[in-house]
Amino acid sequence: MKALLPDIVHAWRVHRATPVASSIAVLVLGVALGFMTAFLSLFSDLLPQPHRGFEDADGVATLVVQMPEHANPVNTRFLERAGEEISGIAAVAGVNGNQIEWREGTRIDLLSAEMVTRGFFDGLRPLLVLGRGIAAEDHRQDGASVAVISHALWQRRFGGRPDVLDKKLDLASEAMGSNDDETVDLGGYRIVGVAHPDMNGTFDGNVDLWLPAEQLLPKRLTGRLAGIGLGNMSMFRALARIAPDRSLESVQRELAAAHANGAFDGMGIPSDDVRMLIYPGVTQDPGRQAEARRQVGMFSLVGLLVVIVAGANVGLFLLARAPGRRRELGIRLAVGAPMKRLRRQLLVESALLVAAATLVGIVLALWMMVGFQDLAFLDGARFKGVSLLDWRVLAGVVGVTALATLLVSLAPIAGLKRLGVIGATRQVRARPGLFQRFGGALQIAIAGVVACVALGFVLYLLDLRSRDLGYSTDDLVVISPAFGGTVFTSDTGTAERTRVRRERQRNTLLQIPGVEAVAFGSPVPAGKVGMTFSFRLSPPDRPDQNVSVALGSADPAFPALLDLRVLHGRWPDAGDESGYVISRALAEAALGHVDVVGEVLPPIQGPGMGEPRPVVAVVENVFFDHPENPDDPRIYSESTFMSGNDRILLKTRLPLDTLRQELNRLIEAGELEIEIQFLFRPRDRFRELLAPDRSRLYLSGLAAVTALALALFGFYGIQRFLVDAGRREFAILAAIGAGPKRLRRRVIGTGLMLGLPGLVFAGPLGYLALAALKPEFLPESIPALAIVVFVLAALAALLVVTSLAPARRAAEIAPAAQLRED
Amino acid sequence: MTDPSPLIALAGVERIFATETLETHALDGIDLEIDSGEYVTIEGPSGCGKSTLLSVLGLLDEIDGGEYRLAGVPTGEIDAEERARLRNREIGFVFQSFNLIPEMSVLENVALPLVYRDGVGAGDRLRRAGEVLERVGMAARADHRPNQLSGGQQQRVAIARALVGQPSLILADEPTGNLDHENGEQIMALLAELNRSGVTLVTVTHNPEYAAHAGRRVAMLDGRLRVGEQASA
Repeated sequence: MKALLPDIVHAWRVHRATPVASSIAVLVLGVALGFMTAFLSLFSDLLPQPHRGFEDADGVATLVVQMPEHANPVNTRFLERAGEEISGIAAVAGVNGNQIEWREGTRIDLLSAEMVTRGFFDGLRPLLVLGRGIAAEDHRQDGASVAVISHALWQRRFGGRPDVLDKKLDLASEAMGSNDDETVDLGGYRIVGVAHPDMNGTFDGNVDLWLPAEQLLPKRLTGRLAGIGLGNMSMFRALARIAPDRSLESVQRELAAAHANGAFDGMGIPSDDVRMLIYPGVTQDPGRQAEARRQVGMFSLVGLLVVIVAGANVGLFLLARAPGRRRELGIRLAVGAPMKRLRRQLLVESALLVAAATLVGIVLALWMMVGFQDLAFLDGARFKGVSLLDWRVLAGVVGVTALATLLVSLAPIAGLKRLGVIGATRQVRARPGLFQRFGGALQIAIAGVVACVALGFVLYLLDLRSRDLGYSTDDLVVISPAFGGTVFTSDTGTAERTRVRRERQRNTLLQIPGVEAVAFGSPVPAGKVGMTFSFRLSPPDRPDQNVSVALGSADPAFPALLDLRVLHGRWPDAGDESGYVISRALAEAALGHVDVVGEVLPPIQGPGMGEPRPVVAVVENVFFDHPENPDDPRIYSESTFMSGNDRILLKTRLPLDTLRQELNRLIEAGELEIEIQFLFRPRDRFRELLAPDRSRLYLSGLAAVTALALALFGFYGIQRFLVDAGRREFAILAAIGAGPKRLRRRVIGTGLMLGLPGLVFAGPLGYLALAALKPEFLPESIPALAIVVFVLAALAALLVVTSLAPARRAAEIAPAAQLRED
Repeated sequence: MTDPSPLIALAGVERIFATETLETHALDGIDLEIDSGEYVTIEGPSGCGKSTLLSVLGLLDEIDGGEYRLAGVPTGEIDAEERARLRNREIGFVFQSFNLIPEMSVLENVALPLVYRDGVGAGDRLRRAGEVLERVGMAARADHRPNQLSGGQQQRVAIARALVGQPSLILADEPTGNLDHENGEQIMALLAELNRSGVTLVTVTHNPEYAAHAGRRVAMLDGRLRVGEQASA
């Protein structure tokens, strides 16, 4: 270190002599390092980690029944079958989160509870500090009413005293299956254990107590649900403990095989498009986490590329300064400084620059990380607590910093070999050196690749926004009432009551000035549907296959208000329940063609469907959700057991605030019997739906602009350096008759040749990058080849534009003055 | 060019170099005429303006006053592209420090002016360059690089480059300045031979021995032609 001190002092002086240029170099590299470090930190945070609330936490995993868009909850029959069939699973249990009332005299506290199935405590082994867990016999329906409380609740309400065991909690909860806000008294639950502080919940934090699901949940089921039974209620998220001698991968394979062999048929698992997956750790939505990780990983890679471009850029900047320092270094050589010493000096100068940039980068990363977590395409991902102190992140940053130092120092060190005081003054022509060629090509190639990716996202977003969604959202407002409960019957009396209710509400709403039309139905555009019901039918020509059929309710005003396209037949009038309206997708899936008016669908397996009815109309498919997600094959009926969950659609231009005021007035006056949960314009919600795509576009666009600006700036620097260093040659060429135009063309031609290797690499790499992003981030329809060709052409044009200023400089060289210097 | 009027006609030519604090009249009212086929040497002490005068004659520098006509063309009225064209077609320049391109071979260096002449293909360029190299006695070194040649050989190549475009005027600025006496003699002899073949030759030298080769000697001092500058051959 002592020997390095003079080098460090000298390096500081060298950089201080050109404060603006050195500051720009530090900032450029710092921003690039910050960008990469921020994403690397997020990636590290998204990596699955063991839940410290369990014994041998590494063995606890999340078992997921993954549908294309979401994880499907499971029932206790599935859990039992999984435990029996999969030898790699030593224990399995389900968890259902809910809110429970704790009544203590007149005091009522709302507690966060997890209802857990058999195997949770004795199989998964969460940590306890007092007492015991819920035993197997407690999980019987007639088992004892016992509870385990959290450490926080123990401290908060029981003072942390050991005499908490055997105390009773009087609990109550909302009934399930009731149309009213009915509360069920669950009785007294005896505290048998206290959880460790690290066990504050499985999927959600801040859980207050754990209760036996098999014993408690049946008390909550009322109405039709009471007859269904807990074993058929798919409402649990599953956790498993991997057998000690097994790996996660082997269990995954076993799961997939068991599923393929039909081990889980009849267990309430949809049979199409389902994958059985097992993830390390306890993660609420592991599929979402994995997807977030992939996206963050992608941007970490982009960040690394930008760092490389920035490093090469700064290296070229140092090289461009080299002619001015050539004399100094040449004199040092002349007085006996060994080459090794000069190399060390240049390395220290580069390292100082990079060290400063790293500090700037870490500070920027701390700020960027907070912002990046809010990126729309990371919505739903859970961050545990992003930290730069994670050794993996620090190792990554140190590694990249070392790479950047190497890159940055290579240029001037390579230039040292061509030193010499005498030689410097005799130089006639400046050729681009190896590092300049390599650095220039690398920057252009990376900028080209990132530009291809960004353009891909641009085209994708434009495509999404221009797609025909199958309906119109002009002047459309949706009222989403609080869940009105389901009516599990196909009794015509209920259908009539639904029609009467709708007419009453329609007449009331039409009284609001500015409301032009009212319709009722579900699902609706951009509506967040809480509960969905789907059924199955088997096509007559493929009886062994199941087609998933979704149910939608729609009054006769629904298609007109949304401008749905009726392809065949006619939407039935009010009260006409003689037939079904189905979507094109259902017609094709069930009957193999679209014009199926008059045909009868195969029997549909599901409650409340009644006798088969003929098809009376076929409507075009709609995209109520993200434009990439077409609606399920659907039956529309005026009245279904979902009609109690109608959304109300209004055609109006009233501002939402004004409309809300009017609605509240009607509700308070008792003229409108609804509770508004959401009030929104689907057009606005769509912007949110496309927000992840937009944010991916903005981020990749930012990276592309940064990489492009750096590359072109570096390229300009090379050109400018070559013109300045080759002034003499340009003067000679002028002397022998090369005019200004020729000289300009020469510089531009040199520039294109310099950039050509970069363009050559950018082409195939850009194509491969786009291919790698399909189909997860970009659709197959994105024209990769056209994008690559466009980007290469644009890059070539930019190289020409970047060369214009140096070219003019070359053309304006005064030959006489230049040739007089010697 | 067979026009009987002077090839070069300078009338009151001025060239001023100005800095923030100082104005230097490198050429201060030069009147000079040179006929086609003449061999003129411009002599004078260091800093008197001879190289500036040569640069002006070679259209490498612009004038700040007066008029310069080259083959009857008023050079002040033509643009940079036309000046370059004239330089390429009518003028050959020989420099003191040779100014060959190190990365090119001898043959490529000689052919270089023809690259900027329209209508001359690559094969033709190299053929004509070879012929000129033959003329200056350097054909055997056509594939060598300049740094493989002696000073005298490099200057011969530079002369060949100046000749390849068949100019009507050769301007040589201290062509023997970097050479030893023997090589200097050879170069001056070569230039004299070229003049005898009809090329108008204007040289700058501070060596009176070499100046004696010229048909007319012009003396300069402080940017002006000295009274009685016409020296006899």
